[in-house]
Amino acid sequence: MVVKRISEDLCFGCGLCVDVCTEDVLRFDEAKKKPYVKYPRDCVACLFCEAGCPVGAIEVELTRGRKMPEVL
Amino acid sequence: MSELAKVLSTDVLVIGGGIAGLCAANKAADQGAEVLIVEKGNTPWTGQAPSSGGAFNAVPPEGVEAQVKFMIKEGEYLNDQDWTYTYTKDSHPVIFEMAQWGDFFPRDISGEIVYTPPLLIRLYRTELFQPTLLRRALEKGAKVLNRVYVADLLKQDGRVAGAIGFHYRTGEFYVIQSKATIIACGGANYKARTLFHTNCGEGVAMAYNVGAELRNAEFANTYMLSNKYTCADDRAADSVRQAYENALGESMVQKYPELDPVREPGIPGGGGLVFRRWVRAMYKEIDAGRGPIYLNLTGQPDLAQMRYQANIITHQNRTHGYVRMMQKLGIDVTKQKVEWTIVPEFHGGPIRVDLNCETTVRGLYATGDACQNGSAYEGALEGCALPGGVPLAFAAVTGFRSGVAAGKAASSLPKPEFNMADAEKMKREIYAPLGAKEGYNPYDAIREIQEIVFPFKNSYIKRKDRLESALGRIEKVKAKLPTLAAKDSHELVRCHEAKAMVLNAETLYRASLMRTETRGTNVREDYPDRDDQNWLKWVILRKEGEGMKLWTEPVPIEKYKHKP
Repeated sequence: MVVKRISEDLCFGCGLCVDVCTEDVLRFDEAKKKPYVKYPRDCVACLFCEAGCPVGAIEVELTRGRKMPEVL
Repeated sequence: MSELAKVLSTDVLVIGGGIAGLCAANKAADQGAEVLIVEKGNTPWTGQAPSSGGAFNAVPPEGVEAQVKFMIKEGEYLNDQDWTYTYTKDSHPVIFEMAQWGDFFPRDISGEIVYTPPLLIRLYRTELFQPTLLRRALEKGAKVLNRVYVADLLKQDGRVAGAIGFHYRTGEFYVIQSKATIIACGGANYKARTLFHTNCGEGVAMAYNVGAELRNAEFANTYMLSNKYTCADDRAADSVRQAYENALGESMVQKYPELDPVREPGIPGGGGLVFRRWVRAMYKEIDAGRGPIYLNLTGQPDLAQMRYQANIITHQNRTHGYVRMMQKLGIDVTKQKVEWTIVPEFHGGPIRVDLNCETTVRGLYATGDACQNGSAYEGALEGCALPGGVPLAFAAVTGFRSGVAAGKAASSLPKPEFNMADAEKMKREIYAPLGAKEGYNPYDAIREIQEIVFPFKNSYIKRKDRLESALGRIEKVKAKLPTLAAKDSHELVRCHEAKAMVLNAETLYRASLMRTETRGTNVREDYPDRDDQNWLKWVILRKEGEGMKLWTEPVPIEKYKHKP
């Protein structure tokens, strides 16, 4: 999993991270009013959620959800 | 039918909400057309531009001739020279018109836009760029449908009359009728990079499936250099080129003088031109057993500082700026060497377009990366090829052209009426993987495709036997596609992405096999020379029945100004 942490304390449920996630990794839990990681293996570590979070609640690891095949 | 689907109608349908799509939407709306943008992610945070280097190539009239000449020489005369001129002449007015829409280009104290020498204008507020384009389009009346995945186009009486798709999250079926349709969703990236990951060649596949011609598919391969850890690119590598070395500690620029770029006067440096040379030099070293390659800034604080400085200036708003990456990894580049490698990128889309960005199918337009190769403006090169700042400017230029042409065409056309029974039949096909309890997992399919396409020796340094083997493996994946199974609409998107990737890979390998010479990025080990006698020709592809028909068409070099 590459979205390593979404801080429950810091997150105030604005949902921006869910909006910017192009690969639809993150979804919004309407009951809890918080984002959660629904499709971890689709994360490509683009860092948009981490960079976009207004309170720095998200930490993304620089690995991908899926290991990439060899090139050379 | 209407209970089974959301049926929408518009004058101009724009598929994709990146730079090209947003420019097209703005210009179509300026013609008075009703515009609908459909995006599989979420515009404006989508496409490739948010993670690009942010440079636009804007050529004033006095610079046009020199840049065109350079592009044709580097494109090895496979350019559609009318397109090369059109792009270059348009770049300046288009970018200056865009500059009036928002405050994202740097200006000096008198309010003039500042050029980075010689012909680049750099975004200095990347985060404002696409949102500004989107806001203006919305102000002009355009509508947006986010998280809707367009799966196929609808045709009526020989014209494209709309598209069908489904919602990424809810799975709801959409039928969109349109008078003109613009494909603005990029080339096939095979989910290769941390940065460029959304485009899977769906636009190319859609155009192909309705019978549009593809051109220059054999050049659709791009590889970039990257640090080993993140597989993110580092466009400013040029600024510390002296610090790259092989495993033996030999300097790369001393071994390969072409890496120390002698700048053509008046031509922007950087871009794919430099990276293509780096990729080939690194491959040579690694292939000869002298790998890996390192960026060695240890004991060179001045160089490291310069590196960081370049990055801070040009990449300050990019999530993948090198500084941010290395900080995240806890690597101090002045204390340890950083391993570098070659990573696949794949930018170019081969949809053939005329100077209005119309494809060979009426009512269908293509813009941006989707027609980078197909327009042939840059000849025998990959999508990210020539001089710095060209791909972003090309997205804007073609966005403008397609938007104007589609907007005008739509005003004189009646509302299309396509056969809803056809849409119903296509719906069953599109949703087929959802009904399957067990079957071919789309993640396995994508992985298998990547294993075939990523290797440098399959897709860059080519040879007949390897191309045939790669094509054979792609065909095996293709044979399994009818058994794809998806658990939900999210996985259904992956299924269709896999289908598009297979089609794109097939065009790459078939066209590469046909071109028995080395030209541009079609590097053939078995045909190492350029063959102007037999190969001043374009390879054209089109769907015929269930098969792929390929033929060649001579480049009309006699009527062009620049000849080999």
